[in-house]
Amino acid sequence: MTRFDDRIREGLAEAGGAAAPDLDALTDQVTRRRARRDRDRRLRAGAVGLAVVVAVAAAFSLALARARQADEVIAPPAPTPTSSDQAIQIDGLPFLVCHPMSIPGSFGEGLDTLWVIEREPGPDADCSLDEGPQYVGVGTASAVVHLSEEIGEMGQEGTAIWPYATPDLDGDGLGEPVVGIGGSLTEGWARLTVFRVGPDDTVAPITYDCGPACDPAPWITVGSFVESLSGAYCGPEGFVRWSASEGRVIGNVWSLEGDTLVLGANAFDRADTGSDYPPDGTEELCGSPTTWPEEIETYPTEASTSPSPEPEPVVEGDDIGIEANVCGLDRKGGLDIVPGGDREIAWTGYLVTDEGTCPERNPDRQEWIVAVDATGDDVADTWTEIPLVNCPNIACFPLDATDLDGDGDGELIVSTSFSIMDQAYFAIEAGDGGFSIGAIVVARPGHAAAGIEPGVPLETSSGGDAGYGAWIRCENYPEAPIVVFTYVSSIVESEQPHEWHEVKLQLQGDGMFHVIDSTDLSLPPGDDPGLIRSDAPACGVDFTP
Amino acid sequence: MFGARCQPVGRSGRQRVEMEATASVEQTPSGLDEAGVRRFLREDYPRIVAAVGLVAGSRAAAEDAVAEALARAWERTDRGDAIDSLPAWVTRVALNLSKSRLRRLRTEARHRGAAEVVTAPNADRVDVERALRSLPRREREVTVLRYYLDLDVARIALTLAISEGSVKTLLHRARHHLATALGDDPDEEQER
Repeated sequence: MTRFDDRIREGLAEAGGAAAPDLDALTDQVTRRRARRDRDRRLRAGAVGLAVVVAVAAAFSLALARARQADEVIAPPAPTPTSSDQAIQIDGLPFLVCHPMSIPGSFGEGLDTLWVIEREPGPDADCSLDEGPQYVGVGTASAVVHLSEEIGEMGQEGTAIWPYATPDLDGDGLGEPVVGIGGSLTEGWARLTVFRVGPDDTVAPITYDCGPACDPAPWITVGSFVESLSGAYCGPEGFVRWSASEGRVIGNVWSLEGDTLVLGANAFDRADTGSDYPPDGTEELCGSPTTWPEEIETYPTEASTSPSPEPEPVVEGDDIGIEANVCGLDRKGGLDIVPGGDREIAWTGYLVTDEGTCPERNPDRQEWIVAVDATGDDVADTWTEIPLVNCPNIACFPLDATDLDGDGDGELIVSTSFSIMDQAYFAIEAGDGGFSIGAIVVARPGHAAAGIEPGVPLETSSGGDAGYGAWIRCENYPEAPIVVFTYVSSIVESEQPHEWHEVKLQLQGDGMFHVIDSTDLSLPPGDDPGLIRSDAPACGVDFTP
Repeated sequence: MFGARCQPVGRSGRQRVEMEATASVEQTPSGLDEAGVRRFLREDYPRIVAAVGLVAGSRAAAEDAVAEALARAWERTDRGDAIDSLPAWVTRVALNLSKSRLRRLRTEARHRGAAEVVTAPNADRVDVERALRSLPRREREVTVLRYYLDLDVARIALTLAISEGSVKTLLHRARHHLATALGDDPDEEQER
């Protein structure tokens, strides 16, 4: 023990303190949190149980239909499909499809099935590219009758899209197709999109109208994500979407008017944990069972008649030259991040478990890392953990590299994959022992009002969702770049002020981001803060989700 | 000038320590009930909140994170999962939860405006706190667990679920960085 150790110990003892807690209040708080979590878990388990029933019924009816019409319905160009990675033909569609999903519904005129479909991407009837669903269809158990146009951003790779439910939202006795959109990595949470079957036999997503004071438009979400819990039900008030977080629960009435879902008045807004919701006590959505992606059977393909091959030993993850294999690898080459180079490579991924496996679900994943090949041999020279808390929840990828300090070499930017992208920034340096990588931290004093803390890696974000919007732009690039991070946060569907922040950061010679200017505003909803909100590339990097 | 940036935290080995019963305080049985929760709140909560607060830089975020971690522990044991060391488990989960910027912003917004008890700070305490804040996250964690919670290397490894070798490396780096920030000599006045 040295005098130095004593100094640290005494300094921390004084800084930490340890006040006596209010035992009753804390016990009550923990009990309520536990009840909320327990309820959330049961809600999901219930949904899964219902989904199993639905999926089994759907698969059974599809199998029957297929058995009756095998020659007509299944007409793949290659030999009979033997695995889910082979495309199949579904009646009524002019193209082969991959991984089709369906649930029963009631849409009138014999239309009793909601489909979500991925178009076979290439000429080889090969579905292994897994481009994700691109179409929503309505039809029968064996045929698609009405098909949507491509569904745009919903079809992005890596986003889970599935037929969620077929509720009757407008009380006309027919169901509306409702599609769930979420991350397969954020299981238990979905954003809902409602479709309508139009008079011209089209299937199209309806629009949302939430009025002038509602910016950004709230999504109808169900399940739990981060610290929020939400759901939807049909009650005496109509179609209600509720959300609970931070001890407050808000319910909004939506009404389906033609092709528009219109936000009405608040059904309620009160202090509550949300533990009593939905008030109808079911996991159904307005009478329709709900499903989650892992429980939906894809269209049955014919079983192989050949003997099953012996399973080969599985080596999980990829070897990129670091101590352990890496799972979920994402690679970006052609980067300029060390002196004299422009062909460096960055990888992101998560480390295999001690058993050498790649768990697909949070929270079993290991920490996410970023690795860099600075020498051009396609082997990582250095790596470090990514200080973004959402990497395990969502996924992270090497976004790009750009010169943020004007020294001629780029800094590496890693981002989460989501509608709100979080970014971390890394510097790579050469030393006697080789290359090293480190996250770039914020210099004192930072800017606490905007959550920019000194001494910790800078984290910015871009994109938006209900209650949050963020933008990144750049000034003085490339001579003396200034990263301008602007964001707004608000409580959705409330009259609470919107909190706006604009922080200008410069990567200076000491290797840290310095806050050189900032603006903090608290404005009523709808008031223009006068801040620039640009989605254009910033410092040569496209930050848009 | 790489020194001011976060140092790489790549680890030489990825051996996870066994979750043996080396609790920082009294061992907790695998099942939790309200009495167990109250006992934890009375005996362990204050120091763990303070420790997480030192790492996270926010007392409000620490209180939120520890309460949430305890609720998760309770839920887990309800499901039949065993937690060998409740204080270690709660500390680790709370440290992870406190990394969330969203949670921090939310809890701080909730506490904003609440009256704070301000005492005249000791100058050296301010220096130490400031030096601590300049450390990379992982070094900050091992420093607080070592010097504030007074855990030994094995218990720090257990709490953070990293190897003892990693703990030693991180502690060594942290002491070096703290000494540099404080203009001090970490090896001066060795006491026997």
